[in-house]
Amino acid sequence: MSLKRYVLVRIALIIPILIAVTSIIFLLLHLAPGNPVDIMLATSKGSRDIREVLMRRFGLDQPLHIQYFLWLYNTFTGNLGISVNGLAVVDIIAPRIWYTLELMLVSLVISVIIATLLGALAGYKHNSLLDRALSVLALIGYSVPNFWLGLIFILVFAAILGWFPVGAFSLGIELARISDLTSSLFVHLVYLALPAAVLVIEFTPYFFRLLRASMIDVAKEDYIVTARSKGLKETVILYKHALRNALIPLITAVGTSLGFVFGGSYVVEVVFAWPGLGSLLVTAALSRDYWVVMGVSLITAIMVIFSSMGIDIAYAYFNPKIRFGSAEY
Amino acid sequence: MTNVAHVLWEHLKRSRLLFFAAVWMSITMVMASFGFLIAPYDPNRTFPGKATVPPCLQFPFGTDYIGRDVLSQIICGSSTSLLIAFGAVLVELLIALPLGLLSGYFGGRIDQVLMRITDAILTIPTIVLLIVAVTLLRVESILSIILVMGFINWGWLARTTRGETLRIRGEDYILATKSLGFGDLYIIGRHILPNIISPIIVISTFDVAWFILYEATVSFIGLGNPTVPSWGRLLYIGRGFLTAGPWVSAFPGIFILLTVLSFNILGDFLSNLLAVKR
Repeated sequence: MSLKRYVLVRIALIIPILIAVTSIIFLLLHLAPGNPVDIMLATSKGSRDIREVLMRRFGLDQPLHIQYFLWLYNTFTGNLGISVNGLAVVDIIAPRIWYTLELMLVSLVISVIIATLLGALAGYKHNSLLDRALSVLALIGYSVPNFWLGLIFILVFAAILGWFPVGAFSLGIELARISDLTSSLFVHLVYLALPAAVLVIEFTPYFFRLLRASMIDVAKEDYIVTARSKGLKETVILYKHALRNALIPLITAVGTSLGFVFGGSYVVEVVFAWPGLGSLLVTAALSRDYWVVMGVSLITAIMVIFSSMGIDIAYAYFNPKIRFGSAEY
Repeated sequence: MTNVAHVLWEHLKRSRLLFFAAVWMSITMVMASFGFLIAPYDPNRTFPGKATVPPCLQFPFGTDYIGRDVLSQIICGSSTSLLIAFGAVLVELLIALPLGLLSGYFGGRIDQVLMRITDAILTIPTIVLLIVAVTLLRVESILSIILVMGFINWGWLARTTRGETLRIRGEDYILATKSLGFGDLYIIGRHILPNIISPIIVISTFDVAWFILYEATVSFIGLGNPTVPSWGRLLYIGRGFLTAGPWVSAFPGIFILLTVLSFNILGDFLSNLLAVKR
């Protein structure tokens, strides 16, 4: 199958998943006790007329399946509803996407690099002291509640040692906006350091364990034995021969772990008051701001779907052996 | 049975990690079962004039901002956390096993539909779906949080069950049983399920750990039930006055960490023992 065809099929397969995802979110909204419009009006004491206008605006006076298609239509035209405080949900969500991606991508890239280097070493020297020490550390890192680690980091590095600012990131940005680019970058780094460190501690063990397992398998292969019998240096065998092959499962793993990665970032955002989608989701959830909650979960699902598709396509591009028929999808 | 105990003892002697996990799990089980007998005080009792007391002889882990003993809350909270985690795994198994077995065994259109639903469930991060569901459905009781968590997290288990079923449904012994005229349900229950049980046991063990973390996260965010003591609720309380009373956050976090770690160690051990490829 040609790459072009693979990409087209892969894109076509998104549609049923998108329909299923949107149906699940839509159903959840309608299973919820109380009408979203009533809840919107509860705080603003709206009259019956406003209620009717809003009901019609969101199509809530229609039968359920029509409502779904209306909601889907609105969603695709960029209308995600109105938040409790009267702003369009799209306008609330859009500027936050970048902050979420910034925090997530920085942590993800650092984690994958650390996990690759250490995982390759640990798997290659299977059962050595180094391997066992790293594995126990990974197991601990894997089990730490990320939000708790965030609290401890704030307590130790911000409150006690005073190395990092305690306040919310949005304040820092406001200050940075007045001055030049260098200081704006600096502010980003200063505020990014602690949440990113927490996420790196959460993500690295996951990828480390994967790469280590894959490296243990690769180290048993004949071509490694051959390389060694040729008298090549161990570091050359490790990083040139073994690692390249061990990395293959890691690429797919990054794709399938995106749910875990997004989920982790969202919770850590809450702890550090990082102005991304996660803290928005929780604020909205606590104030029962239905349309914002829906919007954030929808945008998250779409981001996960498209980025995992991107990784799959990149994988197929770099690995011509992959045949569509044998893959999961 | 003596044989199983013997093998287990041999492994415990060899692995210090596993030994630690066994000891810690026993401690949490005792705390969860007899918490109200062991706890020094009633977890909801407030001591007037004893708010935010640092760890001392009277309160080994200190008190929170309204003067409740942290240690007693941790001991009594353990039953909430464990009950929710085990309950959610049970719900998840009740959903994922039938779906995965049917999908894998019969294939065809049922399989296509079920797997697309699974894909969709797996696409939205569990914690996001959990926050949305808890908010929209106004989940408060322990039973409803168990149901919601089980209903959200079954995707991975269902997919694994399906994959394993698919792998062995063409094996000779299955075909032989079929040709002898046994019914599909008999084959699924008697031959397929026992042969795919290992990965299911391993995933369930890891999921206990995940559910403990999820429950703690939801309570920490402030969506938990404020009247029931749990580890997550303590973290939520502690977050409000982190610098004034760091012990309120620190101790329950350590308990969560050690418990989750124990289940992860057990999961690793089981997947080695049962030779499960993950």
